[in-house]
Amino acid sequence: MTQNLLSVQDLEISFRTAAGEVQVVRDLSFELAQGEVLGIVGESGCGKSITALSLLGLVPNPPGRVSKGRILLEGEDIVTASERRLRQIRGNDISMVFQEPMTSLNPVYSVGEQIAETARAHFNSSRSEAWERAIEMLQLVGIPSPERRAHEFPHQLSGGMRQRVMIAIALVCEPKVLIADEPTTALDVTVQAQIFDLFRDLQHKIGAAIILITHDIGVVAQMTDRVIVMYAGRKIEEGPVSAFITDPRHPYTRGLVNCIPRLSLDPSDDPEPLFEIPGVVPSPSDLSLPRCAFAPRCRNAFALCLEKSPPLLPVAEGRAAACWLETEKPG
Amino acid sequence: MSDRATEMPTPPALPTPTTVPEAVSPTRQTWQMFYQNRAAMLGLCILLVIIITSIVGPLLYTVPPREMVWMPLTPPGQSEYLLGTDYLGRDLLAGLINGGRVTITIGFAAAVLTVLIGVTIGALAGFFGGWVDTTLMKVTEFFQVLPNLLFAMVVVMLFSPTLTNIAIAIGIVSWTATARLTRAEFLRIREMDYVKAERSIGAGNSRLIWRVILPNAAPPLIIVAALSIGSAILFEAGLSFLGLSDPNAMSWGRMVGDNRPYILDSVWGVTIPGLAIFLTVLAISLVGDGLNDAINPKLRQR
Repeated sequence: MTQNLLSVQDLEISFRTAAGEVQVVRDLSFELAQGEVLGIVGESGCGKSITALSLLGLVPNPPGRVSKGRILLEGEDIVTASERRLRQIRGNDISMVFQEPMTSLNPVYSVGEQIAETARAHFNSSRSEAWERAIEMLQLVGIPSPERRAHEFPHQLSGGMRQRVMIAIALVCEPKVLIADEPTTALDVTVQAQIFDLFRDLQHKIGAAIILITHDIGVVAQMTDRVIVMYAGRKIEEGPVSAFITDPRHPYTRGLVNCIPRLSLDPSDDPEPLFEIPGVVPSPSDLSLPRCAFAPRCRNAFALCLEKSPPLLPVAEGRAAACWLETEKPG
Repeated sequence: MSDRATEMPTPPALPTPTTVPEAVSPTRQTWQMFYQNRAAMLGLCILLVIIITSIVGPLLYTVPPREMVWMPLTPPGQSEYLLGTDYLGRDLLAGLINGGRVTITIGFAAAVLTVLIGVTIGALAGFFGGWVDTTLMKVTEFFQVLPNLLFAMVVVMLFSPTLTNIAIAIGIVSWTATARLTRAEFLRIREMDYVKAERSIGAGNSRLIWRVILPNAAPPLIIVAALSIGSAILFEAGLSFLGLSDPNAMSWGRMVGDNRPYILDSVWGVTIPGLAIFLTVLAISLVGDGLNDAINPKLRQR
């Protein structure tokens, strides 16, 4: 087995609120291998984004903090790393593409300057070398006539272009891990497809491991090798993407997969009403009860679900789920 | 009109003809807007004339400003001294030219000091927040509640009224507004996505403060800086009027102050330097307003 690049162990992230300390992420463990694409899926508010920030040591503190667990990047713990070390890790080893390309670029510098500046800060290269590098990167992310575009300012570029620039900035230092936090939510569908093609392309070229955070199951199916499903701050299912789509084990995952609308032109194919998961994600402060967090929304819930939270147990080769129904199953 | 047209910077030719509009940097857009603003250009012209006169004037017009050269209280146009003389028979034109140097130097120096102190304190307070913010803002409030003129007078009297000390005194009583504005801008901008994004690729605090947030906070600060030159000149005039001026240097405020008791004998001794102060401050305000107009539409467009 290949050496794991990134290993998250028993991660717990807490936020101080007026009602006391609340855990927004708990008992989260996962591994990321070299060159792997890992999907993290879940509804809004399930702790995906804050997990991503914690990998960069960027949990807003106060009020948040990593209250337990370790995040090992090639054996080095990020949670206890100094701010100086974290600055080196950010960009060089792990970098991130954010959700909002419209506002994530600095409006006062040209895009070329922004890429070059990042390259300069990390490689100690000269101004002209860095500029060359910036143009190279723009080319790599598929921006036409990069020499000219490099002089343009963010407000002169479209959303898709800006996201390409963001990706160029994130990749200019050739990080080992690229975190993409819903990188296409703000873009329209055609651009979305282009950006994902780009990700896949770059992954082949650069060989970075990608953590793709999304709530779009279609994207997960297309892009990832392995999927983690999070619910209310916990990992509730994990497995290879094919199994995740065809044979989801946790009722929540089943719900997510069934939520995908299907197109059909055949009039005889009377579509069933689109499936929905009733209710909303519980707020983290409601999670003090020792029950399964999903139980109130689960149609299969039974007595045990309301008494004890199910542990994450292996259900098949390379797969795990946190549901009493799975553990009760014979075999 | 044709003069202005020639002043417009001609955009460099594109390497390849294409339908994509050429990249225009925000800075150049701002200058284009500024060029098109008549009032601002007028202000800039007046200001340039005053500055150039102050620099070159004393070399060309060599009448000593602090020596008696003619009958006291001569009105303008009645002697070889164009603007007449003051109550000691000193040449008013020489005073105006030499005083301009002092006045404008003090104005700029004090404004630079104001901006340096104000931006530093405001930036640190706004960026770090927490106890840094609380402490720095308490200090700012302390300076805000001191009566400006009185405090400046005390400083000048404690450390002899030299030009440097006067500039410093003006600087340390007038930075508070700049600090508050800078802090407010930093509080707003530090929450922006691009600051978060810069952090995520490894930018440290000093880079975030000076290279990321400050340039984005610059537009209102540039305007305040321009206007603070005007108020520093007025402040210096006020101090000189009260007698707190460098005895070895002539300044406009001091001319007004010196000639005040003789205003009934000759109105010119007060009016001429007064007009000079008025014109300078007016020109600076026009330029400041022009900058404001030129910079802000682009902010809205963003």
